[in-house]
Amino acid sequence: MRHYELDDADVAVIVGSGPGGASLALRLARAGLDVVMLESGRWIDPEDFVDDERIAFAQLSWLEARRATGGWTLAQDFPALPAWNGHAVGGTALLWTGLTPRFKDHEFRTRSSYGEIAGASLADWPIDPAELAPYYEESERAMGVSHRQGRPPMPANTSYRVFANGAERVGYRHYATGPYATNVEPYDGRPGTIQDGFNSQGDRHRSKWTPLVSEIPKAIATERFELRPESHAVRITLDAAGRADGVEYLDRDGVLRRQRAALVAVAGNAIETPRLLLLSATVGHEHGLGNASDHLGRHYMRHTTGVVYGQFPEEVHMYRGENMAGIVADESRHDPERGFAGGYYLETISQGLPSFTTFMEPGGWGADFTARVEGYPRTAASWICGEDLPQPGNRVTLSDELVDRWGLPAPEVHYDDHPNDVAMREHAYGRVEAMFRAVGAERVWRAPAMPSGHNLGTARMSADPANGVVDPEGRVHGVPNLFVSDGSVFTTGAAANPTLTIMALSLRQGDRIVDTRRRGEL
Amino acid sequence: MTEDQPAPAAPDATASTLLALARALYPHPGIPDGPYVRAVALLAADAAASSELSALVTAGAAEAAADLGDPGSATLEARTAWLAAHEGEAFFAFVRERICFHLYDDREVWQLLGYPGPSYALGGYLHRGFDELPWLPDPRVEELDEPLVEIGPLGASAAASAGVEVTA
Ligand SMILES: Cc1cc2nc3c(=O)[nH]c(=O)nc-3n(C[C@H](O)[C@H](O)[C@H](O)COP(=O)(O)OP(=O)(O)OC[C@H]3O[C@@H](n4cnc5c(N)ncnc54)[C@H](O)[C@@H]3O)c2cc1C
Repeated sequence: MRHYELDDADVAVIVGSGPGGASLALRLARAGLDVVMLESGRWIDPEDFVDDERIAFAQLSWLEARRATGGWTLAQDFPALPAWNGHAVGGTALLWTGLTPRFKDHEFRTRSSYGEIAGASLADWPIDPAELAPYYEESERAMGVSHRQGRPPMPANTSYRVFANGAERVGYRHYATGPYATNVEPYDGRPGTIQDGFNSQGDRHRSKWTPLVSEIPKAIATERFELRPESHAVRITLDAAGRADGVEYLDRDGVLRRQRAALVAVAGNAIETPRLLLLSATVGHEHGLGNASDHLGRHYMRHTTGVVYGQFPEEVHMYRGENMAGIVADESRHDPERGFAGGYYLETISQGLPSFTTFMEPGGWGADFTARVEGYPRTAASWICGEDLPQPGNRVTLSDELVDRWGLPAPEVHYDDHPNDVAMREHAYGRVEAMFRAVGAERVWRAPAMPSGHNLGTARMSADPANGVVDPEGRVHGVPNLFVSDGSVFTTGAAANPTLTIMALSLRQGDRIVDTRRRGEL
Repeated sequence: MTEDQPAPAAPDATASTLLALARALYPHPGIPDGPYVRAVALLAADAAASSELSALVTAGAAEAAADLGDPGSATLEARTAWLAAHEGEAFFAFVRERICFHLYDDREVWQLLGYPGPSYALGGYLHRGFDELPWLPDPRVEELDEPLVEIGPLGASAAASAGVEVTA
């Protein structure tokens, strides 16, 4: 792998090796820029992934101090784990399952489509959806998404058979096993899935798309890219002219180093990205970089979510096969007649016994709990993924009390449901119950959110610097060579799972950076 | 440990009380004591990490033993009632969470409850029934070749059936 000197001031420094950072890195390296990637987590070879929920959780997850506050159930159920993020090369994609719906056009214009909603900070995205379309297509190819760009559909596993039959019987029409970013058959040098049911444990087989098995090795092969794992960025530095000129980070031995930079892109996910920008407060940016208008860390979104479980007279064996290869799109529309704005997807979810007993009723115990545990082989489940409304008070802040292992203020994540979120979730719970009952469920029950896998909105995109943190290219307002390249930039969250859109935005941003640099402006 | 050091205060009593409580927290008549004993031992090891936690567990177990007489012979109802009365206390919260965590991570429990665990070495389920569900028809896996309604109510045919009461 190429090596760059710390005082090489001509490199692009990217913080974070998840889908956002890795897609940008490959784009820039292939265009001939020199890229240094700082990743806080370790390099873990896919062979070292473990098909065991508990061991893999400890191996792959971000387990630094965090705190959940506010009215959301997570503050009660998992107060130290508001979000489930990855902490290794490849980022949270090591944990992700891989559903990749696109945004709908009107979801880029929610303020115009939904109108004014009290308490919500709805805004239209400052970009034209048509401009993103080719990047969506390219992202689908990069991930080898099933059902798209000539890739075959995923076959139906047991969970999907229950879910799709239920959907059909309640009158839904738009159900399918994808789009799903795991190989059905060999593609891009990686094998087809063996349906082993351990997506969120990294995927030893490498059928699941992650940057670890795709963008990162490809970027290394350009010889224009250096990956530095176990390098935790702690501060972005600015020069006298107010341009980003380096990133300070702690290396694996805890030694503080500084990589000089021509430009910096932050892709640490929507909790760590605003934390780093807040920690980088300096003269002229007293409240953090990009925070002149007090939007940094605010408008945090995580999707309106919850899980419904159904138990049937006959066996399901939900642990067999791809963990989330099933989606119903009929309710993803915006239809105010249902009593709320925006829409939601219903998705299959399968869990091994340790996860099932952790999430199916957090805090539950007693004979009624164990009766449901004994029904595990006869259980199917569906996860709700709906658009939650941005609210300024839902935010990531630096803790006054908690510190992480590096001695830095830990993030606190505050979230209160908007009434629209509650109404949507109630509706969704009811629809899944109807689906499961329609195929003979003897028992159905609702479970609250799991720690958030989707984290969005904390550095929102706006054309006017007064209304957000980054411009339509993801460039931080007020710091011309500092970019945000992850879901933090989402102006609103849409119903869709976010990662395809994160990648599409990164590729678009990469093209803009390359153009700007060719013009000599970066 | 040398002769002059005092023996730890009745560790066996604490463990047997915790065993009785664990069996009431997560009662599975078909699961023998072995996995519960292992879960209690792992809980004790977790508690040993901090003197506060050890003290919490010892004191909570002593209180349960005092209230229940011999917890090992107290009825399931009596133990359940004791737990319900102490729900919300730190002792309960710690013991419940740790027992749930360790009990359902036990290989013998997996086997008894029908969770096979890792499948990679066996080739996953590709040729071992990932798609086997004989009690329902084969569903379509492709997306429907028909546009999705993005704004407004569902199309007429879908709305007609989506609204109806469905009986199991
Ligand atoms: C169980 C689960 C299932 C999911 N399923 C889906 C799905 O089906 N579809 C979908 O679209 N999305 C899904 N997601 C979400 C998806 O994983 C994320 O949207 C995606 O990984 C975000 O990419 P990112 O690059 O923005 O951030 P991440 O993937 O989180 O990467 C950020 C990286 O930055 C690193 N980092 C953070 N701070 C620093 C720092 N200060 N210095 C150096 N490095 C740092 C982190 O270690 C991490 O590696 C799922 C998530 C989970 C947890």
